[in-house]
Amino acid sequence: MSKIPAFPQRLSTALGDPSIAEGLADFQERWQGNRNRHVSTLEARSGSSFAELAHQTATAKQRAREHPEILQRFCQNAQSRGAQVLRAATAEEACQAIAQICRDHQARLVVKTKSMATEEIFLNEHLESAGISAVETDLGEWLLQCAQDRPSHLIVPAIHKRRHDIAKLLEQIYAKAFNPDDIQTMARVVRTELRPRFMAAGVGITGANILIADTGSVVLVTNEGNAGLTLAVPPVHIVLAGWDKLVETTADALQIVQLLAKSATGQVISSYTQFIHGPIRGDFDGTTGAAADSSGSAGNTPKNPAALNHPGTNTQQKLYIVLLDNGRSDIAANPEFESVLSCIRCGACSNVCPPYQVVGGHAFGHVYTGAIGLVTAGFHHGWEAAAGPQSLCVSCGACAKVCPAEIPLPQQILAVRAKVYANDPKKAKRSLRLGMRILRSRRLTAVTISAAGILTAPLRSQGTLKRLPLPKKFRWRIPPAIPPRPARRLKELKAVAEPPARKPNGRKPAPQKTALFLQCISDRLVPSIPLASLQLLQACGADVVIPTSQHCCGLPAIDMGDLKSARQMAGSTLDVLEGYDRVVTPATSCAIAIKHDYKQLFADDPKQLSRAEALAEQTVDLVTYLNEKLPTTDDLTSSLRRDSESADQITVHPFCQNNTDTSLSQLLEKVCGAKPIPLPEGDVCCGFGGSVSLSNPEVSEAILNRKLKNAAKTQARVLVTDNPGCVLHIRGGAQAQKAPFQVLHIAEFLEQYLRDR
Amino acid sequence: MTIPTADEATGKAESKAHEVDETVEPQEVERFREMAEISGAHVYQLNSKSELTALIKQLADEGDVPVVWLETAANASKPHQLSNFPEPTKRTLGAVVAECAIAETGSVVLLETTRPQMLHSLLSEELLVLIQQNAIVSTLNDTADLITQAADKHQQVTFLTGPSRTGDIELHHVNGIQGPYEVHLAICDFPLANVQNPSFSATS
Repeated sequence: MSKIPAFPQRLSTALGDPSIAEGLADFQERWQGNRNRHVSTLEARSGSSFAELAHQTATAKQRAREHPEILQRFCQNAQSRGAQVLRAATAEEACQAIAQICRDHQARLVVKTKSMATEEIFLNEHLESAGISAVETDLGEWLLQCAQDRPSHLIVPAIHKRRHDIAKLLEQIYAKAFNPDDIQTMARVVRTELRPRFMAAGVGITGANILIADTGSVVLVTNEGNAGLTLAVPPVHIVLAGWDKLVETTADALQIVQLLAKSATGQVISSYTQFIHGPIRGDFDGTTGAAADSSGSAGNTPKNPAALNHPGTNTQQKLYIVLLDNGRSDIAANPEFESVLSCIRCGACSNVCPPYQVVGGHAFGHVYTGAIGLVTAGFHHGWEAAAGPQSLCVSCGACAKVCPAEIPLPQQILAVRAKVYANDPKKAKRSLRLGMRILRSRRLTAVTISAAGILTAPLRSQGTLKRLPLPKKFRWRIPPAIPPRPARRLKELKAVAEPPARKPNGRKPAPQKTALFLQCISDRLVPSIPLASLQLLQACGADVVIPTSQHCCGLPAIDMGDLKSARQMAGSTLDVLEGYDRVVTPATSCAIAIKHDYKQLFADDPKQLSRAEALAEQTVDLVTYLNEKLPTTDDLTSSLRRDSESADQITVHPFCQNNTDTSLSQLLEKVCGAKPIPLPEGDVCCGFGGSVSLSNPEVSEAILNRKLKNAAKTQARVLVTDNPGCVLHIRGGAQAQKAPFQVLHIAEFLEQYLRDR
Repeated sequence: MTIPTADEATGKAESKAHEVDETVEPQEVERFREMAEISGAHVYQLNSKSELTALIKQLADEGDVPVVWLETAANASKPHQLSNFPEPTKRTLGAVVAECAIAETGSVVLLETTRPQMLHSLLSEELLVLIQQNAIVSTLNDTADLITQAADKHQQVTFLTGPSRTGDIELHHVNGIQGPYEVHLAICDFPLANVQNPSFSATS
């Protein structure tokens, strides 16, 4: 049952519509500042950090999930207050139940308040086919319904529509001109347009932001006031809510309320927060165009519809609460994914997501948009629905940092990717699968890259392959020239090479040795990075060795979802690197993979897991290592330092997965004697994103362009970063645009200082 | 239309006055004012019933705009008949007494049981909310017990924060989408329960 166009079509439409990125950029700019300000105030006032507050939210939601009696309590309490609670296992069941309630109450017209759950089950289409009209009453949703479109954002559904689009749409509806700059008049159209609809509707349908077990209450958080009219005017109110909206206490609910609007719209709180404790009393006496129930009793579907037509003065509204499963139980049963049910649907994960900012929610998501949609789509709509959108994630981790419910979204998206890959490896792009087959083998990688080097040698120019004829969609980045020899063949590295023979299995290598993990990209494509890293380590007094059988850590396989290859490559890396005093790498991404991802890869293999845990302890990225070894007063630091003026010409892009870490700036400050120039949006991904720059180059290009624009604004001479993937990506883009700054890895940058000593 | 006296209209304040802390820190009042203004509400601090009367007269354009008090238990008039409903732009000034207010968010807390009560705060084009100054609480969490206890008596508890609004078109804020265009909050540093009928002659 797919009512949504296929992913390639959605992506292509999104990439062809510049208003998507424009609208999102406007929103992000306003949202980010307000959100950060209000969150800081809350932190100061509550004495808890955002992470602690998010943990409290997650704990409250988890408690409700783990104790089935809490859900029972909700049902009992809601029913004792007069609501009728129904359970729907599937979207189809929910649609049928709601349509039946409408028929029972002879409602031909229903008014709706924005509810993603009703979008999830395609309720409007179902009601339409049952001869019941559903009118959306949220401004954005109403505009989209008129335009036969669908939401692209959880909170601002029509964010992909610009004022001119809306003026045109209203002109079609009302056959008169609307001034696109008179947003007030356009927005207030719904006030006069929808009043008669509220009046005439036999049923009002809302979602729920929160369900409270202790009181059997439904909480609705809205801004426009349409929820109040939807729930109070028609004689019947139906709430459709995923059961995951449940919390135990009012205090738990308030915990969510205090974070929801700040995360969602950057408001302190929304205009209306309504706690609905039961069906509304009195006054349902036929003043609306809909029939009202005169029985005064609640909780049962009237058996005699004729009774509805006898108005009474002591009438009571009918309240139905439909609790939706539709895959939620499967999520709850899956330890890897269950925490996604803590989501409070704020949409913050979209607002910080670099690829979402380029393509919007129609492509980046299915029904639920943004990172959260990438995780849940498979459970609600099948894995086919998840396959396309998840390929856009750059794994930058920004979503996890703003999530007010502590959901590890990046790991869960990678787990979705692995599931999609396992279901059908052929869905991955053929070029990526071929690349992975080569990368799995060190020898095959060496031979292939060496052959590519020979073949492209005539095209080399100033260290690049700028004369390489690339397809148009890849031309925004100039690839580096493939050097004649990889780093490991340079004489400086050969001098400290340690072949595997010298490190027999089961025997620890000589203690106090520091292994330099070169990283495959640097080794084969940018030998200056490993060379400079070696010189820096040696300058710090380390006894460095280069284990010669080292190869890729497996991160590209993890990024691709090919966990079988990832385990194989990680296993080989364990063989090569374990037992050294320290393992240092100039690739922050690989350090994070070894330190964190390996534990997840080997979670079910106790022997490998314990080896992975040991290696994680020994492994460190170059920047962290140098920060440890270079005290500010150190001779080496002084000799590296030239003059503070140079700091005025440097800006930094720290690897995004590490972006709460300011160690790159600290290191540069130590060496240069002054802080580098802050890069606007410096903590945002550059767009390299594992294989995204190859699989979705247009998206990667747009993200990189924003990074390059920001870098140009700083007027820096050099942009320094700590991850070879970012170096190649940003450098290639900067060269293609002839940007007025150089892009250097931190090792390359410091090595230039060393050379001047 | 029968207009309840201020005594009747503010009767609720008397019943709850004993439940709230008699003292409220001045900085909490200031905080409430600041946050309510951020939400787009107009805030007034009043020291006497005559100031309240003057404010109501002023907001009601000296009598040109009808003032509609929310019904009380003592007076069963229906402030918002649904028959008035299809006229969403006819100007009225609704008035209601808040159960309490929240400094942290600038919200007022309304307890509602019947449909007229619920529609009252939504259908008034302008809404005046009277807040007993000592009923201002500090944080959202301070309302947890109130909400839980209210569940047995009131079908709905509403945190109202500023006017009805939208940002659905290019994030441009527009007030008065389905609810009030303007929200006026009067922080009253005098017992609301003892207010004698201010002259609401303009409201007939």
